Amino acid sequence: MTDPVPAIELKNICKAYGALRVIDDVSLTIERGVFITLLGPSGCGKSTLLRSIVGLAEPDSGTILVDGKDITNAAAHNRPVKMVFQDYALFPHMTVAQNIGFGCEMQGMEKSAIARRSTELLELIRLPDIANRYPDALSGGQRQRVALARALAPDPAALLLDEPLGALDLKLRQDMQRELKAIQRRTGKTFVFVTHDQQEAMSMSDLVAVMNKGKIEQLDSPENIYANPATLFIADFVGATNLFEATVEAKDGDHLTLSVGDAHWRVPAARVTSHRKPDVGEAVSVVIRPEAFDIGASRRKGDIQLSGRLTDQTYLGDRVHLNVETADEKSLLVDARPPISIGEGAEIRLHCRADNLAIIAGR
Amino acid sequence: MSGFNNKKGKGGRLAGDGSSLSNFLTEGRGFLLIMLLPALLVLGFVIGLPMLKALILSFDTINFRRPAAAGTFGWHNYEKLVFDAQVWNAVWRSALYMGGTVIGSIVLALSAALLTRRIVRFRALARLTFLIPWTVPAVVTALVWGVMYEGNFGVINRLLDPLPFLDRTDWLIDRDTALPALILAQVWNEFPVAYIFFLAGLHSIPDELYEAARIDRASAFNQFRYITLPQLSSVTAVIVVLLMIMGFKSFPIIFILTGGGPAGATETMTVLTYNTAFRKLDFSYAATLGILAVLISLAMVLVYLRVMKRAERGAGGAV
Ligand SMILES: Nc1ncnc2c1ncn2[C@@H]1O[C@H](COP(=O)(O)OP(=O)(O)OP(=O)(O)O)[C@@H](O)[C@H]1O
Ligand SMILES: [Mg+2]
Repeated sequence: MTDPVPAIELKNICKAYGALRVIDDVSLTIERGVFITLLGPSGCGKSTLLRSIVGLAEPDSGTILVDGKDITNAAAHNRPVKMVFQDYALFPHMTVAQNIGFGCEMQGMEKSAIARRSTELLELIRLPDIANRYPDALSGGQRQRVALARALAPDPAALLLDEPLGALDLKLRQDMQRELKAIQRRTGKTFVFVTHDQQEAMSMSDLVAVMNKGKIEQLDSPENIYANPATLFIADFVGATNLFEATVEAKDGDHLTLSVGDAHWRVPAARVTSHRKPDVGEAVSVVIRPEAFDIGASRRKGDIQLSGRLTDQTYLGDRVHLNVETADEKSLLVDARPPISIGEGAEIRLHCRADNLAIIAGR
Repeated sequence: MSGFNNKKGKGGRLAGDGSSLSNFLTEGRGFLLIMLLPALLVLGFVIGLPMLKALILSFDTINFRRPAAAGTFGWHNYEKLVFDAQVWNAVWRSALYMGGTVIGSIVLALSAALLTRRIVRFRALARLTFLIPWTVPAVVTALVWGVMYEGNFGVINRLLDPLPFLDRTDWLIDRDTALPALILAQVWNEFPVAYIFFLAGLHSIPDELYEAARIDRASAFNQFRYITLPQLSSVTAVIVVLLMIMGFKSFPIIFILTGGGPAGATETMTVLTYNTAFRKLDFSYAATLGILAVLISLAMVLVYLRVMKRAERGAGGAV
């Protein structure tokens, strides 16, 4: 990032509806040209945050800067950001070209310039032939692309997208994810994308901000969010997870010894991914992803060893999902590569590298 | 329809005893007929009989001033109608009355709907206020407006008194003001119908459209022009035709306030029909006028049905 002025800067945004704190002291800096996703469960305040940026909701306190300018109190139409809505919000009685040109027209742009801009954007969304169609003659994916073009037409500083793919079916959704990402790359615009679908967030974003109960719990690359979850909520919300309750027994140098049930695991202290580092005697949670497990006993020193009974397996072609029940009746998810030559109900041994897990303070 | 019923009938004859009358009456189309018969009879009696009676009457010569002519059947009433200037003047006045009430009601109803759309406090009260005129019977409306229009003591003249350029008028007696005055009373009485339609229409417009427009710098006027108006177009079409029919058929307000006067200045089709029957006692000619009115109304109903169909299709396309 050579440009020192971020596209969007949020400082201590708070918003409450009655007693409900929908946005709880959120601060966030978004650099230019970044594809950032606000990810979180339904009702965590993603839409409200987005609508605050675009001016459709009024935060109770805090500051919003776009391109370095304070727009906290500016009216929606005076903000250099545009929004794409989940239900497209295309004007049904206007053609595609008129929809796309609407923002430019309202800004008083010349007719010929508007027409040029519409054509340009129709090229961008790769639908050059639909200029004179009405929205109800378009498919869901086409409508969403037109909505995108309409929002991009007045050349906004940033584009805010509130679950824009929520109404599409899975296949179309995946195509549109790729398309959206490609358009973002081509235009170099800052995209702030909202979704509650963690897979969507992972596959599209440069950065993911995971929200929970009005707070941003972690802002990081998708890889880091997955591998190094800062909170238990994130570990649980993003991807499939095996959680182990443990206690820190000892600390020596750069290693921790954890007691997990009857077992003792020696793990690198660097694998503590929560902000707070646990002390000796403190309760922690150990996060092991299903694909971190390998089947069989390990001869490598320091590996974590587990055993259990295979209760269920689901063959998925390139992978097999296993359900393993340990002696203390804990059910583990294991993601293994086929072929698996173990029958259901049989004993199975598992191991996992001691650095292929994450430790989070607290339970 | 009939194919469906036939199939059902066949499916019912599992025993394979062939068709018999009792089978026909309990399972086939005959069963349907029997079930529908009472309703058909009532409908036929209530709707068909009076229409038939009116039609026959219009070819007869029932005129209490010329009782001897009764029983003379023919096209004479229709021949008279074609060249009767009074009739076509009445049709024209009905059209004026219709146009005036439609425009007035729509302007008033749309304004009221826009006004009460977004209010939060006293919402029910505000809406009720605009619905009250509808609950007032036309007869009472006529009486109240009659009192208000009265030349010497009427509240309207009193309100207008301070204005220098307006002379006192007797609104219902002046040839130029009588029809507009009636239209105003009618509008007051019937605009709530349009108001309800508009309110429902406004509520069916997604908020997101306005939000998107706001973000795109559309002013309040442009939001109205580019979203509200076009989104209301199909409901407006329905309202227009509905109000046209209501306006064309309206009678009590005109009849009570002016009875068609002064000098026929407010004589609409309905009033003319009434006067022909009950003042001139020419029932056959009145029936002929009635038939003409029915034909005109019918044309409007046909338009209404088409508009409804279009509106239904239009509503499906709202995205
Ligand atoms: N206008 C409002 N009045 C009262 N409460 C509101 C209002 N708008 C939102 N809320 C509440 O604020 C909370 C956050 O809403 P928001 O729409 O921001 O959630 P979200 O993260 O976008 O959820 P989703 O994924 O379901 O869209 C919810 O509990 C919601 O009920
Ligand atoms: Mg939302």
